[in-house]
Amino acid sequence: MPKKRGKKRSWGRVFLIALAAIYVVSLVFVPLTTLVAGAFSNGVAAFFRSLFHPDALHAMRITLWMVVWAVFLNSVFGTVTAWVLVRDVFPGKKVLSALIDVPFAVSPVIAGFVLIELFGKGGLLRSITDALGIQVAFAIPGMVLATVFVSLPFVVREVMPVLAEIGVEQEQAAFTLGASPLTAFWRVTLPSIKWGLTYGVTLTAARAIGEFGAVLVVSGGVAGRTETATSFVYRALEDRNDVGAYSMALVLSIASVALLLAMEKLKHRRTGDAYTTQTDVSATSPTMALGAPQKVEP
Amino acid sequence: MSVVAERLFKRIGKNAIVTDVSFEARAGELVGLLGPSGGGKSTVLRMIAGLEEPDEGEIYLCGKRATDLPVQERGIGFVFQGYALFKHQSIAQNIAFGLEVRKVPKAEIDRKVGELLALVELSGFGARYPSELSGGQRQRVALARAIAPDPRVLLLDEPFGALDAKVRLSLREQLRRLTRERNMTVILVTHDQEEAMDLADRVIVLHRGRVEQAGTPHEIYDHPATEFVASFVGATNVLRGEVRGGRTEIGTLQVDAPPGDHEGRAVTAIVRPHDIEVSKHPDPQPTEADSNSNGPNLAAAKIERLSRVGPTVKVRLKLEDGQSLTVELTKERAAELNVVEGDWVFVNLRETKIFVQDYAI
Repeated sequence: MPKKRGKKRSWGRVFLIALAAIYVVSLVFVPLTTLVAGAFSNGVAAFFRSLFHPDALHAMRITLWMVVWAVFLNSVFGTVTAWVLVRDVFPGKKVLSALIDVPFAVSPVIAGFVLIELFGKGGLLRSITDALGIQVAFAIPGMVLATVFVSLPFVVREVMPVLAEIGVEQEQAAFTLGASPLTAFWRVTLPSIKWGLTYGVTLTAARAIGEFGAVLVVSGGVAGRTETATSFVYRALEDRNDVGAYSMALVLSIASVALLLAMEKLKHRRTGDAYTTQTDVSATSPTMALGAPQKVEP
Repeated sequence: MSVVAERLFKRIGKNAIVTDVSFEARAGELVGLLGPSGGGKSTVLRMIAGLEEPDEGEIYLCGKRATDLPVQERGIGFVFQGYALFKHQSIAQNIAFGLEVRKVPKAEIDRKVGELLALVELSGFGARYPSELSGGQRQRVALARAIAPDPRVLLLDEPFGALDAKVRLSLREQLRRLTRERNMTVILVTHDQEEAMDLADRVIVLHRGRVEQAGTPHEIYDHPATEFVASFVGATNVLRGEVRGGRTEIGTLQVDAPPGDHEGRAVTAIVRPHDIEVSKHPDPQPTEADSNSNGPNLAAAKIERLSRVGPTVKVRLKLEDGQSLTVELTKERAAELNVVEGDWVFVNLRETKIFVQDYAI
């Protein structure tokens, strides 16, 4: 009797399901509800008012800038670095590869601290930046450096395996057809690595939005000047501006969740992509193709 | 357009991949680079294409020095072993790539892509992606893409390696037709001796990075210059023997000694399976070969195995001295002999190639 059996077994299952539910709900859902409740505790108007406060708007703009800069710099240099690490053989390659992961290993606060040491008063590189008329410490350039540093590994680590997998043959084929190295990169390599790159960019953006320690240390978090969205939350809590803190925190959470969902979707695209590689030359089944017609109901 | 490779050398790390390789492919000729894997064939081909740089030596295309010319300017088409199709581009886009790079007008590209698709019998497949095609179809796309910009020279690296025998045969035909029509100079790398013999006007046998022999398929097969060529090209039996008293002795068999004084030296005899005669009795009727020598040149052998392969019967024999021998008989001859496994028969070598063993080895 399948029905009875199913019931018998279900006690253990119910227990496990309940355990999982309690675990996730208490750790994720409860804080999230608190966040929503806190943000709207003084009504919808207060929520919007606190978000449209000049300091809050400025903080969001700064965070957006951090995201834009981190994404831009890390996509360009991350792709170049991945390229060099996969395609070239040179002395010190292993060391360079190991250095890529340092930002994951080192605490962001230390990263911020090092930047202050370098660019702050009497810093090692201070004379150079002073001569160029750029202020790095306690200013936007330092914050960009901190954000780029903490999110540096993502693009490199996502693009490297894709580059390794596609190999050099497609590029060489482009060369034999008359394409310059640049044309080959734009038309052959870049489309092949685009999902890896996009995935890396998504992770970079998420990290840039969420970064707190490194940026706070290097910027000092001056309201209306060098304050990011995360430092805004921190300061609002200290100032007992609970609605302000909750509202901003809610916005940040929504942004992160949106990125998370986008990432999940990309993951599927990427695995779908992997099936279309030509490495298996004996594969003759056309059904595995990306975008192949879904199953047709009779 | 002629292709000349002149004294090419290439090392990778400590390994000499290509050592002193020279050859020429005349305009419109189909040249096969034949040899076992790891023999340096692909490296030679890639050096001609400009995908790899020779350590020493020169490449001439159409009489002009091309050694330092970048790949893009060599005017060659290249078909990669794994096809290297652009997997994110449709079949039509793949074929159009070389034309687009050359800024050919759009209408012209469309016309040409349509023509090429028809030529490789893939009309209607233009919108598909490489992953949706079979191996043979991908191979044809790779070929169409390579010849789209009208290269004067087409280089193919094991183009049919990953395909099954039937597809391979039809593609071979297609390749021959396409390149002949366009009067292309073709250099084809293959480890399949039958493919090289069937397709090529001339075959260059490469072994351990060196040219073993260059010649027409006929020359290579009938007059192998080295023991390696003799044993690599065509089915062969390799027998060990010794030069003694001006004759080559292989067990109890005797054949002519190779020219020159090699008295007492070990030799290798290469015998094609169809150059061996089998009889049930020490046949009294003298053959032509026998009349030149002292007495009948026969050896007893035991039948180890009989197997029917297509129209022929393969007979695996063991000579009295323990050496093995494979003989091919027509099925009529086999029926006439009426032997079974375990029987003793007599063999006579109609044709052998003798190579004196090198002391250096």
